Amino acid sequence: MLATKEDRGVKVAAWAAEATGRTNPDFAGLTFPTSRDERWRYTRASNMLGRAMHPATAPGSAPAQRPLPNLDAHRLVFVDGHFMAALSTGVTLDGAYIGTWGESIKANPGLLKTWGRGAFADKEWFAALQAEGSQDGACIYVPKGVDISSKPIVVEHHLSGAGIAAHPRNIVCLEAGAKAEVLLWTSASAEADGLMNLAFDARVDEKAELKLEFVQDEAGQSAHVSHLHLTQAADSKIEVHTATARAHWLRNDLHIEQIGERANATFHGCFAPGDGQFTDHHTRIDHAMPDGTSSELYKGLAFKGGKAVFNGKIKVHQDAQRIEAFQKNSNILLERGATIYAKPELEIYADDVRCSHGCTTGQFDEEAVFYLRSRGMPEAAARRLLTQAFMAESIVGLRPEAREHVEALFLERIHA
Amino acid sequence: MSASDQNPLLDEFTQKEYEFGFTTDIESDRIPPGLTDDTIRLLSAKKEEPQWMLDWRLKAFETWKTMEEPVWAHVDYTPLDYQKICYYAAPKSKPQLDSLDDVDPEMRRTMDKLGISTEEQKRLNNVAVDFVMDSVSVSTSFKKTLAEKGIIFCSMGEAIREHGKLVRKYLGSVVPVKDNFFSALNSAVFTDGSFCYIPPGVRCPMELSTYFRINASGTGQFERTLIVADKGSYVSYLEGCTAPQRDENQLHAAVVEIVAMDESEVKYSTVQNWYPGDANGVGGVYNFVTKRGICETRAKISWTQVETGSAITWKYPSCILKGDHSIGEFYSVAVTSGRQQADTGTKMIHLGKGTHSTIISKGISAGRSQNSYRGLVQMTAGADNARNFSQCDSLLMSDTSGAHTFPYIEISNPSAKVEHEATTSRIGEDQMFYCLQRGMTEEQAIGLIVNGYAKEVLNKLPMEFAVEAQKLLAISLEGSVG
Repeated sequence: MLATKEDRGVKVAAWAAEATGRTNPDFAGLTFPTSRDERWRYTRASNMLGRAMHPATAPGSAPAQRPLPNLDAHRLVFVDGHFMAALSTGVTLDGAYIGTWGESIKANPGLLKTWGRGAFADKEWFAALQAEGSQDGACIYVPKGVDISSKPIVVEHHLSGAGIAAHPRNIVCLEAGAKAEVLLWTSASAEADGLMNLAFDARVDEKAELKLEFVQDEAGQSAHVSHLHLTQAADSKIEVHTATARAHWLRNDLHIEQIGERANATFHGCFAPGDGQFTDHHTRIDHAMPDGTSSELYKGLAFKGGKAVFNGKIKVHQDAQRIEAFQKNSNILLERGATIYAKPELEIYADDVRCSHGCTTGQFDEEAVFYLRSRGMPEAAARRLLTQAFMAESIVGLRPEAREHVEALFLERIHA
Repeated sequence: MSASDQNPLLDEFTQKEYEFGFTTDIESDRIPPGLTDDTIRLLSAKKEEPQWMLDWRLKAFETWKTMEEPVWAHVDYTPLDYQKICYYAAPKSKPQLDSLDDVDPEMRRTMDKLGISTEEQKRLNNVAVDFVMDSVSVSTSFKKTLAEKGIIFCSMGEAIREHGKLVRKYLGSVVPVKDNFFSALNSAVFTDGSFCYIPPGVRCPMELSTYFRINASGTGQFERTLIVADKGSYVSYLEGCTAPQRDENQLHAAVVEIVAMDESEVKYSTVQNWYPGDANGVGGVYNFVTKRGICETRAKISWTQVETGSAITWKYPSCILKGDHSIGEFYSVAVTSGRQQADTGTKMIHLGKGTHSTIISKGISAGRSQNSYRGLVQMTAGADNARNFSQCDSLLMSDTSGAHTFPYIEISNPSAKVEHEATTSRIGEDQMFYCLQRGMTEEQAIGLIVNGYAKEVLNKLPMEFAVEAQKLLAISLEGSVG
């Protein structure tokens, strides 16, 4: 028994060394997650170990079809963890910096110390892998009082081919009263079978506002693990809209920490795994200071052979009084052979709070389908319409261009 | 603002001594602490058990040795030393009695102090009481009435001797030995408990009940209960317990198994009031219980529990809904105060078509306690048109207590419907104001609101039990909630 454990450890270490391109990656004592770890209870990551992958020494080609080509935005494009300057439009504007993490730390090595290895690196094995293999990503800094939200910043991360592991690291810092909108977009080519292991750390200061849209549209057989960590100070506002439009095997960790009073967070998400696909959304919000509010909504569809996990945790710390936290998760199993695992959690240590969660799993109301059909609508169209109606609430926060793209991908699957 | 500023009564409540903390001085026949093969052989020999039972125990012990104590529950305690526990203690003079009048007067006084006078129960409630003190049944009543209907209701020890075939068939069939660490331990060392068999088509004419007490200091109590309801039968089973005050932690690792055959119904109600430890969290009972029932076609199992005691509670009464159209229910009120920690809930495993389950859990946390709901609803691929509704509410009575919800929902059938909702709040100021301006005292007002909050569950208790449950709830929250 012990021998197998050791063998496994050796195997994992060898794989990790190759995937990060480092001889001895430091995992700070963390072990590869298995179903015995509560946070990985339903998630099997071990398949990944069977695939050889390594960081790309040079970027492959960017996707021919770029996301939201008509959107007027600043763009930062990364392929296989490398910055594509020719495709990007990074700028310095009103004192705000929209550029790359690589350039930023070259100019100011102190940043490395400030941001460390990332919030998850000493807790999650994959985050440690990210920290060890860390590659280039976006760096967005908005100084005090500056509002650059009128023009969104699109950050694209693309996996170009087989056998590639990318570990992009993204940093966002909004100083007091600053405002910005970021659209994080991940994609992968049809040949991709490696790993997109992405970190996103954001610091949102007093009265600052950040809107983050996160669209995951990955073709191919690659795995995706992301670590999003956002801290918000007093009177700040955060919106996160995650849409997992296409993914083969995906794990998202979203952690929001409210470290100031009266902070407000909204986070929505949606997912729709098809045959052989797996999505896992873990969210956590820490209400560490009084008078904070949060509102969470995740919706899922599961097709035949698809598996989805949703785990949402609301933690209200002691003395964080007058918190209002709401969480809702609704799922629909469309066909036999689909599975949904949901775990909405509340952990509450303060008494003057209003917290609730609701979780439902079911199917389309056949009477509604019948109603539409009796009005002359073909069955497929009726189901499409109901799908659209069901998902609408969870993607309404995305800008229209992104919303249309995501919705089209969901509906395409209904059609098939 | 601290809890005491808001309500000085809360302090009174958290400092309150355990009401049922007394020790009955009855000579105990006990074996030295520690657990080895020989302990199990000795225990089995003392109980005059057949060879198959001893073999079963020894096999369970082997299994237990390979297992690790679970750490996933949201509780924090000093691990137990299983070699320091005494695994057998029986009252020395074991009376064989037909009538309650022959019961040891000392023990009768114990019952009186508990407020559960057996004669009164007998006279008023028509209840057969199988009184368990320190692991061995000493008094069983109404046996004759039950025997006329073919119902078997006796201590587990007696059942193993007299109804070996039945016990052997069903023991461990719902909770396998290796199900978990504590079920394996219980299987190896269980001392006594109750056995109940209801023949086909028989409706048990009375509520069956057992009172448990942990008595001798340092004695672990390992109860084993097995209820078999044959086709089309009905039984309502009551279990209630109080324990005397002790300074060292006492382990209670019970296993309850229910087999509900086609179209039968079993209602299992519990009022639990083990010693919770003092205001500093010293002492108190560790309550690590495995309770599970299996439902065949159109059978129904209903668990109702009122949990007010124990330092640590680790308990998940569950239903395996194996037969088509079977029903599982779970109604729970869990009150924690002082430094109590409870991690309790249920599991509803839907295997059959058209199976239904309902979960209503009401948690109340006061003092510096932690109260968690942990529940699983699983709809397997074959559970067509299965339904579940779960509601888990938490009420916080102080700013130093915690209320947590950990539901697990696993759905693999597209026609299954699952709804889960949970809320956490405290008593509203507007509710209090309304009551106070109608002339109620603060204590009455809190009492009214809390009783209303828990009513959905209390209503599910059998009439005979509701009185005691309300009494316990009142005692548990005395001072803070009437």
